[in-house]
Amino acid sequence: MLKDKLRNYILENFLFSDNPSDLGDDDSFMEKEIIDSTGILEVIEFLEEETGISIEDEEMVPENLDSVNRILAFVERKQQG
Amino acid sequence: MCGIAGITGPVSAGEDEARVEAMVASLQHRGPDHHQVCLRDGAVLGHARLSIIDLESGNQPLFSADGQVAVVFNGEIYNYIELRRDLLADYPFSTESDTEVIVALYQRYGIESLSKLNGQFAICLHDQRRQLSYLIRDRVGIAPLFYSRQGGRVFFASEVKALQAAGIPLELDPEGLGDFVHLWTPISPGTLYRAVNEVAPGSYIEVDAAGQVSVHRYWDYRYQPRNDAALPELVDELDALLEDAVRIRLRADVPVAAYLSGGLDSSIILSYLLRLGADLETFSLSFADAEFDESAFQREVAAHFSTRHNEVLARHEQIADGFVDAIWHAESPLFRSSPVPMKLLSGRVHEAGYKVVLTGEGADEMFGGYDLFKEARIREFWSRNPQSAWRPALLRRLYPYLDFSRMNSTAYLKNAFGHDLEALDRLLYGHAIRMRTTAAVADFLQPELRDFIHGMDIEERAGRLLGVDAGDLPLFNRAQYIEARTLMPGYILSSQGDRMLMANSVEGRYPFLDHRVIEFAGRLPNRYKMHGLKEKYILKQLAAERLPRSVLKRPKQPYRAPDINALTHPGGKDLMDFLTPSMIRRHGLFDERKIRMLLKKVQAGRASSVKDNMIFTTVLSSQIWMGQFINTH
Repeated sequence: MLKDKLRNYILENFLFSDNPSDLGDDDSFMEKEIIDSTGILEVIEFLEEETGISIEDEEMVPENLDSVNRILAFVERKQQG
Repeated sequence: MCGIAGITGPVSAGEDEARVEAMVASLQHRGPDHHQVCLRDGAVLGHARLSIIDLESGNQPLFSADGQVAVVFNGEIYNYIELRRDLLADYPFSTESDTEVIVALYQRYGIESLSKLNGQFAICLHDQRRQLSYLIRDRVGIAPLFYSRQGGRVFFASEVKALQAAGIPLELDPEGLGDFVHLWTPISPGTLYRAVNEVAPGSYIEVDAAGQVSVHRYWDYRYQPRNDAALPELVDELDALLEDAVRIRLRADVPVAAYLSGGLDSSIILSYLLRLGADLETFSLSFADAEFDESAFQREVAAHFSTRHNEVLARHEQIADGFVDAIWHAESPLFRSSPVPMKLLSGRVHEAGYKVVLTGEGADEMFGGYDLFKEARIREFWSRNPQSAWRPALLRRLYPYLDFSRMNSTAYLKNAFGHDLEALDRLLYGHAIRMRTTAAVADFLQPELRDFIHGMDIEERAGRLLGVDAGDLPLFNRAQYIEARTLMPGYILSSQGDRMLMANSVEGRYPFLDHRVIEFAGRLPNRYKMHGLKEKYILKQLAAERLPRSVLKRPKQPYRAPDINALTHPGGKDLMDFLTPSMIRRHGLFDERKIRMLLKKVQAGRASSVKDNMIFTTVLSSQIWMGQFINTH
């Protein structure tokens, strides 16, 4: 569910596309120039609104946020923690 | 300023005169006071006059005493009094105008006499005896001048719309658009229009009787820092130069006002106006939106110098209402809405009865004021140790509004600013980050055009057209040079300058762009322009005793205006009709699906980033521009 919402959000708002194949779940946002450094703050806002989690400054690193799969794993860890 | 237009080469009475009449009529806003067209053997010359100097006898075209040379001229020669004095013994002047000085100089010294002119100008000079015409533009590109070769003839005009009025069909030039997408402006002498060139700043073209064109560069920026003078001496030298630059820019037979931004540069100009005993009426823009508003600083400076101060509040709906007309005057798509409030401001100046304003433009380019110069410096520093986590952290100081402070990872800084970090030998090194952001617009173009523009070698093209090699200049000066040859004439002085001023028949004058000041800046060691990361260091030293401390200490704020929030404001003109699927298809410029998604984001209120604002403003303005100039039927 979150995965679909997240994918649609990124496709619509950063790739300006409605074609799901334009975004791979492991695509690096930075390397593929999908989301720039200001854009990542928009993604964080989206995640906080959608999931109710609060993301700390020290968690704003590419290891947690640089692809769909990394974000999903990060959110899962947060929710379990 | 005024408007000029004409045809050189074989011309016919009647038909070509009528053509030039139509060209001049399209430039009415540039020169509402007097229109004249004149037929010569080998040219038709037209002029729309805004009377500023020698109101009685300064009409144009103007002829030499022997009738052999004719001139039409847009602009001002500020040192005409001194030049005229030197020529008096040899030349039977019949007017008091600066225009006649151009003719007299040419007859005495030939085309090389250009180097004696201090001013802002676009000139057509027709020499009937030699059957030659010259199209001449000032050193830095304050006055616009376009031309189009049509068979064995050359059509020229101050604005492209006059070429359109002459019946020349305008087509989109993909390379010009590619330049625009990368650098916010076509690279001179290219334009956005296929069959149209501009006379590059600092250049003139010679057209012979067969319509053959040769291009000559008579001036360029030079950076030869000298280390033989101490800072206090340099400050004194600059002080004297700036005072004289302001003094001769007060020469006019009409009153002169000043723009006041609330920043360092326009405040310095005011300090000279005060010293010279000039009348002090100032005009400023304010915004209801606090993010863009500088009125508190403006009022403080106005009070400090006791000026009669005028504020023009630019409301969101006025920006939407004025957008279409601003594009008509700019003759270009716009990356930002910021030209529109500048047109509101010149409108107020006109209503107050002024034809001339002094402004602080040019100081940022000449004395290293832009963040782009700091960014280049930090990137260079960082490139010496690319693995450093601390070096890029300096960027946080530069862009506090990007909110990097919230992010703990330098990985994001590296992603944003580390692009081509070690390519220090590139001509466009200093512009790499800006180009990367603006080039995102290309992704919205229809695929063929998008691929063409992404495939352009902009580095090679810029070097070739500008005639410069990266190895010619140190990195800091390279960034200065590119800025002075591209964004300054192509956007700051045109879309945001001349075009928005002349839309209301107001002339801008720029003391920081006096060539003596520019040449001084070229000899200045770079550490006196940017000291560490302190911009415009020497100007701050110069201003230390004469400006309020708060103005000296405030962080530099670039002039910006609201984009999406203004252009989609429900109280303003509905501009969405330009973005319907049928309009997108009609102009064939953009990818319909991408635009649909963009509008979805805008309408949902989620398009708030700098990039989103830039993309939306460019797409909307391009659609409007296409209808005005390219697909006019």
